[in-house]
Amino acid sequence: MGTLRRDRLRGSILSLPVFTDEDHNLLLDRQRVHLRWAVDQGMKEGRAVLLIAGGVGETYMLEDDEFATLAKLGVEEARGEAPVMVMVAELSARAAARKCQVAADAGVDFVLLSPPHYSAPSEDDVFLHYKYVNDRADIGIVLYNSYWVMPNHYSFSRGLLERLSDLENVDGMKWSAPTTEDYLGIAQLFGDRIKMVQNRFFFSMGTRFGMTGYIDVLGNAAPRFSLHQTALMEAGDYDQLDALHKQVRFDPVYSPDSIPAPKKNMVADGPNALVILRSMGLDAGPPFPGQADVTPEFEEHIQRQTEASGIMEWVDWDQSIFDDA
Amino acid sequence: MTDGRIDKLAGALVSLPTFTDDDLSLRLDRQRKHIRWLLDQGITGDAGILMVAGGYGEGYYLEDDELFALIDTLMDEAGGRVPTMVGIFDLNVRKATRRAKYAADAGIDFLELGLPHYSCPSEDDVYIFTKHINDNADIGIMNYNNYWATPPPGFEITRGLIERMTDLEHVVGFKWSSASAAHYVGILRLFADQFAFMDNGMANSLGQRHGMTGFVDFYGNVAPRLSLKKLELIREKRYDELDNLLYALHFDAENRLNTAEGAPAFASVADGVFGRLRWRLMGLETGANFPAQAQPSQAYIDHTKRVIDESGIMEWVDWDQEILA
Repeated sequence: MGTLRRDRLRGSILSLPVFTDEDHNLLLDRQRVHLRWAVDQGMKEGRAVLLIAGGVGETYMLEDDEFATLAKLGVEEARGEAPVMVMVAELSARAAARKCQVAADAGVDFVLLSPPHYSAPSEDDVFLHYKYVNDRADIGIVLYNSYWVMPNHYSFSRGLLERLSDLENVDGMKWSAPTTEDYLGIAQLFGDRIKMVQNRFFFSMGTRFGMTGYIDVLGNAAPRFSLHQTALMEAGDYDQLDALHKQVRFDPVYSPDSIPAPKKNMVADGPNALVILRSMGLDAGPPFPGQADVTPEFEEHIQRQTEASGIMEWVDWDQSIFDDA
Repeated sequence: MTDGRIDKLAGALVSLPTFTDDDLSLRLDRQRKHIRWLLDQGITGDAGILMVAGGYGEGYYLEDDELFALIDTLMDEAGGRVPTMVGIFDLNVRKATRRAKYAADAGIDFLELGLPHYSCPSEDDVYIFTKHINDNADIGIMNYNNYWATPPPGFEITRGLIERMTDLEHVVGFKWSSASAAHYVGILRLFADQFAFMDNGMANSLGQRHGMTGFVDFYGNVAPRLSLKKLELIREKRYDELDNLLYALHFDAENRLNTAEGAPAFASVADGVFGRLRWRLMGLETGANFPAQAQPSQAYIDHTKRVIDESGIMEWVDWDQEILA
């Protein structure tokens, strides 16, 4: 079963926003409309996986009942046309396993499972956390090397991945690494055992080294762009992929025309992702409370960056889709 | 800050263990007996504060119902006899607030509030997080400068942030340590007349000499006589004697454990593994750690036992596990 399941980790791993009103109530009608729209645009099995309650969806900020509701909704609206994934980021292995079981019971295919951290974990801490969930929930596990949130920048080692990739339910890994050598070396070593998902789709580099998927924010408003990228990946047309990335200068750091961003730490991904989507015409509502929202200066920066990137030529989303539904 | 509870944030802040059995069920009967024993030993009135679900109590790993049961147990046994506190370490401010309100309604005096972090928070993130709880729960807040748990570039509570927090009614103090001796003392010089500062570690008298009102107390769980002795020296401003006592006991177990010759390497994702081990070696068996934290090697256990035996702390230990019988 594991082999078949992991083969479904291909193309865009579309990290969906969570639609909310000003009081942070979930707008499930909007969630359904947007998710169905993405599927109808072609974000389907083999080309996409629908990640509901991921980083863009502020999974860290969700209450348990909201998480369960979103997991169920994702499965219902995917209608079997696309695999569904959730993200779980808990220090408590018991809480992580409980949420994974909730998702599995709802029919969710995969969980993007963060390693534990409060202080810096040891390798054994990380392994035991994954094993605890592996042994208790029947759901495909996608490892997440979120080294930048570790107090000591801990990044999964070859030795740890040797142990983790032997766990029955470990199907893939959301992968980036502090060094290029690590990034490509691990992809080469483990790409035939687990599916590798690029956390930062940067030209064709990861794809050339066998990575089959990529984390996708832009596809929420520009699925045509995501599908085109995926098609180039599947065809092994790396030069065209490079040309596309060079043409659509969406990388905020390394494009020739990039605009330096105002520097500011953010406690989680939500506010940043939501403002990027808003710049593309997709307004999902405010971030959950207790975290600073972006400054007007930063929002203006994102707007200019989006316009300069050329990505708007690929955007098919229109907020009036909600009115027509 | 206008919260009248500030005067109660003083003395030995005893961070209680969470008693569990091998199935990780809470042993509230043992919890009660331990609390009663501490009260009987003199941790009452203005001598200190009893805290459940702190770091050593593995507050990060508790489910809501477990946290609430601990709060109720603490209030049943100690409410009105000694100030009380509960640890809250959630990133989701709505969850943190819900827990804070439960504690407030139960009559708990204070929260120990960890810094929110997934990625590294900004100052605005920390302020907004704290303000949300301040505005929604009637309970004294002790902010915790647990800077080492924040990922790079790292965050410490700053002068500017504390100045902003003077406007928050319920923020009464800080659990204080710092990566920098200058920051440690400088903040005390600036704010010790406005907030209560509890020394996190108290390796020496430096903080008390600069206006701290108490100290976080791990050893008080088994050696309350020592806690009261330290408190006597602090309140009588006999700082040289306090330094001599701390030095004689080699009380700074963290540094001794990590730097003593032959110390085997061991790191843990949180405090609970260290806490239960050290208590066990001093005669207080509290049960199993919550999953899925790696356990130390026998060499590390042996080393820890040697450090404890050599420290002289056992001469102050009055706990006997028979008390739980």
